[in-house]
Amino acid sequence: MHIQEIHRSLRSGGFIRAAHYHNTPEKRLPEYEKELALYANHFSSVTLEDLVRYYDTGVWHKEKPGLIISLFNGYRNNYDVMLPLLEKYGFVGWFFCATEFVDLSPEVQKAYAAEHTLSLVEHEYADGRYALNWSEIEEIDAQHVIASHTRSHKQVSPSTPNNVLHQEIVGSQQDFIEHLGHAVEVFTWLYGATNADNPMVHEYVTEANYRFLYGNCGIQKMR
Amino acid sequence: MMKRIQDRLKKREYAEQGIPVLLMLEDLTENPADFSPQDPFEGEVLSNLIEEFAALYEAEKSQAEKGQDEKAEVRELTEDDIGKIIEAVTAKYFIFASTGV
Repeated sequence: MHIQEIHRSLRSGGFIRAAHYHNTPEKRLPEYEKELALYANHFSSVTLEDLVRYYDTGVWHKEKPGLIISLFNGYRNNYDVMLPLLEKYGFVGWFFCATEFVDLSPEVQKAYAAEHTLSLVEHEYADGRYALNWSEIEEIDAQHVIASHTRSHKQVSPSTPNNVLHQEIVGSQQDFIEHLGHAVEVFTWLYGATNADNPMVHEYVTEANYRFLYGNCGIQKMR
Repeated sequence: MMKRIQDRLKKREYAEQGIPVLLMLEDLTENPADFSPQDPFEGEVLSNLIEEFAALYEAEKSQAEKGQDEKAEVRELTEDDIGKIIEAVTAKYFIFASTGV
């Protein structure tokens, strides 16, 4: 995104705040609680419907500015530590899951994480399960936003082969449909790559019927 | 100044800490609505801060590059640079603009 576009977005009101989290281990619970308490004083929660309405009308309809709380990768500690805090402070969490990580049995998750730039908190779970499981995701899905963070935590580049892109974008959506019974609306790459970073992204995001492409500097509405 | 802020940002543990950011909203559909700022002052303030930080960042980057090679040409800001500038502004002014504190 060019800096002039950023100025234009900021001056026109076309922006929203977010707080990005990855692992949320219990040892940091007081820190997360302090942050969410502070955020609850100044900002409103953002549901998917709120974001759609904001795009459709151009007007933010709540008294306080919106704040998206995003949690990346599909870590189990997001469920154990962050989910109760989100609910205590009235925030909707946006949980971005790498579906292949979720699908793995616990005994291989640590090795997989090391090979897929998924950092883990050492010795956090004795049973070896560091990822959310599908029943936790289903429970979260009832009140919060579940979104795709690719299938295998893959970074996109202009040279990523089309079949790999297809697996990561469309394949991940198929995983959600299979386990949740419905498609998810939001997709994000690693490091927040955008629609422009690979010419095939737009085609596959459209095929998978995602509504939003979520990045580090912005959100693109695709349909 | 930017270097000091960047040095501080480098100490963040991205894997475990909450990182405040600003996300620009882009509508790629056929008939996007115009956004209407909830607080026009806020967007203006953030935009001005980003401009100031970008100028500082460019100046420091240019100095650093010329220090290594007198003939070095100064590159335009990359997407990565812009991300760092937004992060630096957000780290300092995430709540400020909405509260005036």
